Amino acid sequence: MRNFYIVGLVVLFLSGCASYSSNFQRIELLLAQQNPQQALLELEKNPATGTDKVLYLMDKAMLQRMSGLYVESNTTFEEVKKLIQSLKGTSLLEQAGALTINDSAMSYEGEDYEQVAIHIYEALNYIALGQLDEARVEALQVDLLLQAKATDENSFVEHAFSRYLTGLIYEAGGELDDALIAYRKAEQAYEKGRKNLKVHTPTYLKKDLLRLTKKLGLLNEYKAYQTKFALNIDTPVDARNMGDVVLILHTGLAPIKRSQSLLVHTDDGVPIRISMPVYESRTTNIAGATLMVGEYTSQAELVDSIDANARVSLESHKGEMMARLIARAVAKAAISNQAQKQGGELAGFLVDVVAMATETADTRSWLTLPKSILLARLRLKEGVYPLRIELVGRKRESLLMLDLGQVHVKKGKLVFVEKMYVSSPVRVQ
Amino acid sequence: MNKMKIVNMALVACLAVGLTACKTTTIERVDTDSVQDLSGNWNDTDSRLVSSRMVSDMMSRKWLTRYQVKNGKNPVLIVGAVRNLSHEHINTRTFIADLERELINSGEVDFVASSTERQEIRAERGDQAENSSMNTQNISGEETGADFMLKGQINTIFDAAANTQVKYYQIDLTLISLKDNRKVWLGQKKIKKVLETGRFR
Repeated sequence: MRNFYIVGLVVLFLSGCASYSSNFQRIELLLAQQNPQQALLELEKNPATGTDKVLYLMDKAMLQRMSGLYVESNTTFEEVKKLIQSLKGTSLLEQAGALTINDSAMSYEGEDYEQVAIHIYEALNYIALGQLDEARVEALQVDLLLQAKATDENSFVEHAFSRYLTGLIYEAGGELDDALIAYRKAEQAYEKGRKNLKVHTPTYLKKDLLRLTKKLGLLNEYKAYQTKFALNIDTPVDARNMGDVVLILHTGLAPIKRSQSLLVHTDDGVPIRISMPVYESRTTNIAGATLMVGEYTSQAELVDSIDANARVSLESHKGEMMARLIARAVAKAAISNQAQKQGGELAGFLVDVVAMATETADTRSWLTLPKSILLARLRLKEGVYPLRIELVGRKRESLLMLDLGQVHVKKGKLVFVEKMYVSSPVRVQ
Repeated sequence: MNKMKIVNMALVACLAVGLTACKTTTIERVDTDSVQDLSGNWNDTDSRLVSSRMVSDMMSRKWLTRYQVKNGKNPVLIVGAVRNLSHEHINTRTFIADLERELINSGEVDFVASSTERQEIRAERGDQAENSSMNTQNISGEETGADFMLKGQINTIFDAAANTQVKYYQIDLTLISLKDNRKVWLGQKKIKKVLETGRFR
């Protein structure tokens, strides 16, 4: 990079061409029609084997869990984890491919936020299967992953929602001290990421922190949180006979990468064309939700924006990517010059055409992840209640009522309710 | 022109060959007692070693002879839950099966079926009461109650830096008397593994 400086960046055009993502429209449509089973069949028609295998497996696992195949989904997630582990080292061959052809020659290992999401969704699968201890295994694994990422200098450091979920898993298992540690980390992470991710510390988390610090007798910390959040919690009189319902709602779909062409000038004044991936958000009309258990209601809050996470993640390694793209463009230009000298104009032109045709941005990303995750929590008396979720739009207008059957609230226990809802895409004016 | 073209084509061909790894399946049968560490995760060897060591430790302790002398019979055991509190999805069922096998084969203890197995046996006995002839029937109400329950948990501490990973497993088993909740034996086994991963693949 030091030999080059960028004289000007000219956005040529936004070309919608993509290798993996372009075949995805039908799957997206089927998801919007609430038909994940068919979407899974559609995906399985074209199983990826080469450098896209991780991507294919992540999408497969997600569609499996949407279809209610939790055990199968976990098997697929375990396969992805093993594959990512085996891709840890640098492949010289793939690097050579990336330097001469394009970035898609490199095996897709998943972005940081995607690797975290694997653990989140596997944990949620185990929760759905009623295997809390196994969900706890995922909680520990996500902690290891975040620790490892924190020591890498160029990646994101924390992931607030996975900390929050980890805390909920510990709390459901009665491990209150572990839960408190996770909640503290979640609160710090929300605070830290607020600017970039535009996700505020959820009120539910604040209340959890107050409740646990009080319960564990950490009065100084309790008071500190009280002042910090300007919030009081009221302990219900018959708290002993109460249980919790936690709703985790996934809405919309994660952003999609598109290829953007830029014209960059080297320091010799030679213009070169490079293709960068940029994220394009997928629109949804769902802006919020209300959890309704019997006659009790609770507003769901945004706890994770995968849309924002994806953008931050891409931004964080833009520099490195730019350097590689420029190096490749220069290498391709050198080959073209050679060809022109030795074989004449036509040879140079042909090599240029090949170079241009192979120069596409790496537009691979996990497309079946949701756009955002919402959470609501309700404390209720023991009993069986009908459970519904109301989806609301931007102007708080009611969009849809989802009936989720019945929920059995047990005293002192935490029940997880989970739902993924993909609405049909809307155009934003 | 030709030279360049050939060089280019050769380059592309090389990459194509390199990117598609040729696959052949080879199968080799190995002794089930042989140690094969692949990923460094908990495997069959760990399960087998831990269960045999812990059971032999349990059998050599005083609680057993004390019980046998006092009651004039072998204690009756049942295996309860072995909780997986580790960083890995460990199949505790094979571990429990290993434990049961070691215990029964020791000949020093008697063993009763676990609660899920009992449901199935009881259903069968109910069926016998209706359909079997009197002299082959097993009547209900004759089950042997267990004296002790074996419970346990698997814990781990993992640590990693750069390309080195340390995995530490601690397996705790407790034998609890069903009569008075007394803990009569505590067993502990630790395993430590160091993993080195390559920078290149």
